[in-house]
Amino acid sequence: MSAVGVPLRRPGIRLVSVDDGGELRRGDEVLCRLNVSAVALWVLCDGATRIDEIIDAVCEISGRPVEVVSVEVEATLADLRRNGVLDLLDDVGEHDPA
Amino acid sequence: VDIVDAVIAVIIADSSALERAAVAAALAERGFSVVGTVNGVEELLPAVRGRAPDVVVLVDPLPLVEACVVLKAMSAPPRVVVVSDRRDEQAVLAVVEAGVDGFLPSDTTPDSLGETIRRVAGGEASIPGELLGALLRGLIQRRREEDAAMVLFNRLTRREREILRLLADGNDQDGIAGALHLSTNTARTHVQNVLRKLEVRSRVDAVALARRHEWFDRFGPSAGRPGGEGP
Repeated sequence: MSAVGVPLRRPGIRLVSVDDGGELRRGDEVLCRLNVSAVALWVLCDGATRIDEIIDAVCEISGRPVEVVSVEVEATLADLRRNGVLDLLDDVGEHDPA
Repeated sequence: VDIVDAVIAVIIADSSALERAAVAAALAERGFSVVGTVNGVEELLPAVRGRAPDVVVLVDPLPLVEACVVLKAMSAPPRVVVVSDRRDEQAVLAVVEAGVDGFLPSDTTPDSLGETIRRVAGGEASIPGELLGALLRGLIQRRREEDAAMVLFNRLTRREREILRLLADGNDQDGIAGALHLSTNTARTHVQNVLRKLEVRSRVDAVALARRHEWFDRFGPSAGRPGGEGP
């Protein structure tokens, strides 16, 4: 995955807070667990926010270099896609924001 | 010597004398070197200049944004941790944009404060997880607004930027005409073009837009776009 595209949460999946992050569930089934950083990213996967915007904002808050942040963000999004909870759109507006 | 392996020097800024003493004692117990405590922003800068702490802990209700800005403007700024009950996105976003490195709620434990100080002294940022999503969203929204505003600003010719500056200085059409040696009708046309290009309804809105995005400070009236004079 490169730093282009717009991540979008798949419908029917809800985030449940747990002590050290969150769980993504479909009904009662736990699909995956997220740490606090991944929870923050998940919130931004609304079909209207580009990956490069997410990376820039994480860089600003964390003060870490874009080379490091982009690898982490892209890895997290790739995990979410592998877990079947996230799609990656080409452009803003391809789908209505979640 | 890596800073996380060295004794970390800390200054505590807190308007409550009791809290200052308690926080200083708790940090000293955990191996930090508390090199100063101050009760306000006025005392903070001299203390930081004189004692060069690695980390400054700012405790609400100090003016957190003002203090962060002052500290981060120093030639060798310390890392900054804020302890505050403010949980609203805008308030936290403001201190993050001012350069704060760590943010903790007021009901934090001494151990959490110590851990946060070690993390920020080591170059990391430390923001509560429950605030991260809202903060990121706020930052992204602000950047989008800045980008959209720049599109509007870039529509203006050099002359129209001068007109905008003169409007901000309180000039009416006659004043603009006199300052730029134009006819009143020409000045009026320029003003109308400025409002149209900025997509605002009034001169007040145009000036407010320029000030909100700090165009005068960032670019000045003479910062003409490539291509020079326009219509």
